[in-house]
Amino acid sequence: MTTASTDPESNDSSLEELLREVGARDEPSADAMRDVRAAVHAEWQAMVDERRRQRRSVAWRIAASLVIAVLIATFARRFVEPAPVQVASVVDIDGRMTYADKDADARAGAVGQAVLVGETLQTDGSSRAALTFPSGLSLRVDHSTRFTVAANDRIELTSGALYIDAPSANASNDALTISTPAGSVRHLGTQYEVRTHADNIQVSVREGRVLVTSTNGSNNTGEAGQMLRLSATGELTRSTLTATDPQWLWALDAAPDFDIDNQTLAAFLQWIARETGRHVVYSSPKAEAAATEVKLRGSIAGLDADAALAAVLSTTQLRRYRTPDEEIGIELAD
Amino acid sequence: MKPEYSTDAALIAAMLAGDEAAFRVFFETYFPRVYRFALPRLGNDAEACKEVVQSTLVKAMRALSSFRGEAALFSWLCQICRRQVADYLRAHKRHHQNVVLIDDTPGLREALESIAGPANDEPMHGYGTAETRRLVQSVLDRLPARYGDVLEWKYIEGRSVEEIGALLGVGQTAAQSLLARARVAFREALETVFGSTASDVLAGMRK
Repeated sequence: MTTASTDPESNDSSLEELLREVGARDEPSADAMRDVRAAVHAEWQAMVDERRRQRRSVAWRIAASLVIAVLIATFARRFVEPAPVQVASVVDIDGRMTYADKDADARAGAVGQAVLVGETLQTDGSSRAALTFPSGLSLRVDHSTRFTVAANDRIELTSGALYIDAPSANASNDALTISTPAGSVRHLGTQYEVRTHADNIQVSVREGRVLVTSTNGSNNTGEAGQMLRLSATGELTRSTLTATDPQWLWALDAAPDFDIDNQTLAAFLQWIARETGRHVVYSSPKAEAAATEVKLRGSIAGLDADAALAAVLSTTQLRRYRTPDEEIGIELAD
Repeated sequence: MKPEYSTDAALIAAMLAGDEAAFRVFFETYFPRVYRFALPRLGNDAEACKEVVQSTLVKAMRALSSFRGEAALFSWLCQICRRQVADYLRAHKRHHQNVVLIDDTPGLREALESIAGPANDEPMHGYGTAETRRLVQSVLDRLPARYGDVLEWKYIEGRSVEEIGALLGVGQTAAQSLLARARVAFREALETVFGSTASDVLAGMRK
């Protein structure tokens, strides 16, 4: 390849000469432009009208479904015995998870299944699962975990580990409490893990704060970056743990796939950042605005977080730049 | 002043939402480019070109929601246009043979389509003057945003930076900055496609 001249003046003058030598590009005639514009505009307008019709039709169908659902619910409330309270739904199972209520043997759970008060759920040594609550709270279930949904705001963890990702809007008043033989843990808008070890529990806080209450009634607050170990006798020790520590990886493995279709790039980046304990940093307001405007299509199913990030960014005009580990730096590509 | 859409995806999203201004930007930006893409492939038959470009853009409107932003919008339109040209030539026997342009050869097509990406092509030499002229014009059409237009306005039409700013609805500093970026992009694109500097391309044309 010929080496470019390093003199910008000479380069600019040769660009100028070349452009003059080549001359202006052909412009289509005004008549052609007018005729084609009319035809294309009509087609575009028809396409837009059709999309609006479809949206209206979907809205009507949803409204009709809601009316039917309300009627059925009203009928059921009057004539049928009250159903058990649904607390959450199963959104992902990697392997096998069983559930049982006090009257029945354990059965295999399935994605989409409602989780009811009184049910006991269990994973084996090679399975994980994820549940979602109406408040947006996400509960991840690690290998060899057994827990009972004691009430709509209380889970009794018997063995294994649970990871809780509670949206910050989830007020502490109706926060979920995880009870264990060694004490209970209540979040104050956070991401944390509760793991049982025989009679002890280990509470790791990734973001926000949690309130750990021992069996003797003493309260201790756990802050982000701390790991608290509480024994059955009420003895508490603390150590540190970063938000990007490999200990958190299992919670990402257990997370349901993020459906990128029709999501903005900014939403996807926030999801990746939250799931990997990092935060997004934009090089400029322009880069941030571009991430908000880009709508994604397709799927990242089967890709790990970094591969998904690289795959998605490669289809956009944005890219990563080097940052400390706890950040995901995003800038506009040249 | 034309509204700005920072990405192809943003422009398409606005069009899908029924934004009339977005349609205007789309049409004014891409109609001339697709026209210039089709014209030499149809033996410079202006009537045929008009028909093919119209069917290309109509098909693009029907498939707009399927545009995923994996390729540049112009590359996507060119892909549709190539099929329309082939259909037209098949249907009209008066064009006895398909016009195969040098920029339809796989290596050069890849270079033209990768202008926004890194250059990794081997040098390509030996084009005739007319082919070189058209290739340089194709390069201008493939440059992002309004780069091709500002380069033409400045260096071919001899407009001042103030005039260019007025045409784009931006201030003098922004126009100056756009012009500087356009020069850099054009220089790099020439390197990608020709494997040569502007002065080498110019020397080749004057041989």
